[in-house]
Amino acid sequence: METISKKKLQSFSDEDLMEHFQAGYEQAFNLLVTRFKDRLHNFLYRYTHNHQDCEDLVQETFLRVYRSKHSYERIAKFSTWMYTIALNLAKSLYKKKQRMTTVTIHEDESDLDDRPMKLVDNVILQDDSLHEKMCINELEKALKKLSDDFREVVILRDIQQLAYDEIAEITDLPMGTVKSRINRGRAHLQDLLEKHIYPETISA
Amino acid sequence: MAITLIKMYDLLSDTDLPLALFVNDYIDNRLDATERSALEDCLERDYDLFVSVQKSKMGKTALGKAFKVKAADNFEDKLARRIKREKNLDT
Repeated sequence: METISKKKLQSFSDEDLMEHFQAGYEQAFNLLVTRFKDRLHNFLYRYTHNHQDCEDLVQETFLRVYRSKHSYERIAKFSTWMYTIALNLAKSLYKKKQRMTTVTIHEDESDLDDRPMKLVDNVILQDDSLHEKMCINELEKALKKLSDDFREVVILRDIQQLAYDEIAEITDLPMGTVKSRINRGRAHLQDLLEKHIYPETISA
Repeated sequence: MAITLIKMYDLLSDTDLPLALFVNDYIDNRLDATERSALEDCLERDYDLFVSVQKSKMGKTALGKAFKVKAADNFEDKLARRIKREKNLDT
């Protein structure tokens, strides 16, 4: 198989890379991972709210892309296909979590090697100011409280910055419904924020 | 998408869907001058609509401040190892 230089690969579109991956060029897949790993983490974190679960889901998304490479067809944007896989995985995880019972993890005092399990959620914040941190925390809480229908489209549009037509494809909804849900989702989010943050802290 | 003020009102009196199409494009600054002017005139006349649009705008701004989550530095290595393990299991 002819080798393709890294520089040349980097000039390829996502769809070109998938074609090359389908033809057997694994470096093409690796480059897709590099391009999309942060975006997928940013997206899936909004469903898991936990870095380990998020990383697992992102890995699983890429694994599915890897295993199902031949089911991708160029008529769709690669990112649309990938986000659809990611969203379906996130929804499955959410349903699974709803069915799971809560388990208390406690230290076994009789075992000297046992350490208490500590779940740490490291939040990466944009700004160091305490006030900004509070607003961002409230935003994440408010996002959690939105209904699934609103949260899904609002995240895809305003956090992932995807185009409306791509969101319509990923969610399999008509464009009008996508726009309506985004509109109502944003307004509902603002209502939730106003309950917890002083109005003057939100800039219009 | 040229539209007159009268047609805008006709559309607004129908279901929520046509309104959402205009409001989203208005907030995204994608309406042409005529459409923008027609919608702004509606906003002046309809306080509930004005409040709803303002909330949608503010919600969008708030979402723009959401923190960004990134992959761990060793993510690609971990993924590569997992793929290798799967390949070994398949052979």
